[in-house]
Amino acid sequence: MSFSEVARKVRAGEALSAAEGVLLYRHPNLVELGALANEMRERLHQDRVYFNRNLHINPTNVCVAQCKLCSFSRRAPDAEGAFVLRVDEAVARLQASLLAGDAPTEVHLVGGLHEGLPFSYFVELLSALKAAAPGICLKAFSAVEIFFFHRLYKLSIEEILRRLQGAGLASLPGGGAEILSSRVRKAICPNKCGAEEWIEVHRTAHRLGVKSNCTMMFGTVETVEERVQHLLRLRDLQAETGGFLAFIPLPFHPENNALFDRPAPTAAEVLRTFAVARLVLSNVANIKAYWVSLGLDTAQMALWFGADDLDGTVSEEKIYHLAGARSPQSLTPAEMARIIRTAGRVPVERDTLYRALAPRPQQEAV
Amino acid sequence: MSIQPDFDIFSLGRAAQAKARTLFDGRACLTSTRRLNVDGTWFGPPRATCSLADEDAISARGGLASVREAGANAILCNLESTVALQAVAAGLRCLVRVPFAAGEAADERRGRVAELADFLGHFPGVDGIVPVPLGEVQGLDTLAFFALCRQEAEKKHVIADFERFGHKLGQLCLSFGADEILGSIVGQRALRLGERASSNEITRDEAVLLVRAAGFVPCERLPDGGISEL
Repeated sequence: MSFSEVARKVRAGEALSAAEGVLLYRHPNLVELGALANEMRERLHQDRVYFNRNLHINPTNVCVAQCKLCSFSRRAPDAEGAFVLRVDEAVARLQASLLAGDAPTEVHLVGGLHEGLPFSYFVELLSALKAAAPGICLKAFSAVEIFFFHRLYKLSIEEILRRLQGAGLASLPGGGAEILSSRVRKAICPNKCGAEEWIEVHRTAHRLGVKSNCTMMFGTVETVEERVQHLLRLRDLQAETGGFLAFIPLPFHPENNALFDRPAPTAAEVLRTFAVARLVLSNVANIKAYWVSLGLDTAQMALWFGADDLDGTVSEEKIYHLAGARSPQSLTPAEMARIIRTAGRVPVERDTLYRALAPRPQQEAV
Repeated sequence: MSIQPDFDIFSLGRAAQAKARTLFDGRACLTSTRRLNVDGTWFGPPRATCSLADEDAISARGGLASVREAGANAILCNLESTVALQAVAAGLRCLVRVPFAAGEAADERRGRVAELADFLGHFPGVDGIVPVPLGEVQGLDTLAFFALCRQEAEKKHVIADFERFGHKLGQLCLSFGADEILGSIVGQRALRLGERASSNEITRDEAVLLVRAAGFVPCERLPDGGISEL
């Protein structure tokens, strides 16, 4: 098997095997790999790069999981820096962003696994946000949180999702997947839900009509083979449900967490991962370059290595900045459009479900 | 400003990388560098193997002999340089800075590359080319310019300056024709706190990792100008 044979399969639209994914990862020529990924990316999306206007709200950073890779959480509710956002505070944040001019179309909510909060808090949180902005899309709670709710409140995953859906849940973020391997999860996040459980939450959500994203946090203790297996597991679920909107590669950030002695993945490794993901995940339409995690320069280049989405304006990101991210904490839509244009691509504003939106008349056309 | 690339980044990259790999056998060199400031102080690790003076410093310090006396063993000259010949004759390593601006027109860029080719024709003793961005640094544009420089550079080194590009873009330049990294490469790095928060200082181990992760064999430039494989 050679790179050119794999390239032929890609061009013929054939799905790649695990061995072929590993071969791509180990291919010494990053430019060749990028060119192949870009070919597929342009076949799917031409020059378009998607972005949206989104507000990040973290309901709490109190978390029992205590993952080694995390710089955000606090173990105890009374620990220094621990917080739980009141529902009215969350609503006030949304209202402030609606008044600020660049009104978001999406609220992205993720938080810690807090044992002391009732389920009603989360239902009320969604209901109140939806009531404050009925047109807004609530992308809320990673599979790890949903599974935690299932265990803590002794309700089935389906029941948890149905109740949240009733309160306004529109989609699930893709976080918490890390690497879908029991060996890796045992090493870096032993208290989080397992790989099967993460997949089961997304499978259930998709069955209920709740679309979701999927991620891969890479660069800790996993092997290249485990990364490729991770991608194949996502591809298998997508073949079964069709519910994934986007895949988001997330390089590990080593600051302020228990894995601080490990180097972060280099830019070449990050771009390599984008390219391999684009080529292996042939049935997931969008590959997202989350600029907060990557930094703007690498995110721009990822738009030529398989990515077609730059995420959103991201008002008030905390999780990656506490882990050492040096990117800005938010961008305006005009800034996002400029970043995309300077990368030689065409910006397209989208909603959470990747429907293209018309430019807003009162603002600079994107 | 809309900057639609009028180049095929992958074609440029393929050609540049193929040429660099052939010329340097898949090796990329780390050069720990300190730079002479116009006030006579040095910026960078004291034990750097390369002590670099640019034309501003040479002029401010009173000429080539003075900067040599101050410890410089390499100069970074401009394309309009008048000191390149003297520097080579004096046994100093001579590098040339090639400016470029993000988003400039293709004609303008071709002009810069032609100017470089002309300079190299007049000064065959120049050992390396250092692309230097004017204003905002943009990733794709930078990589394309490195690839163009590689095509003109023949056997000269094409050098990514980590102080200008940072580690991320600097590393990627290796895949687009660069074969040498210039920067504050140190044994142990101070924490990036306070004044050093945005420091581009990098340890030797980190630099080796960057080169290996880019798919190249790391080498190191020695004080006597030799190259040692790591």
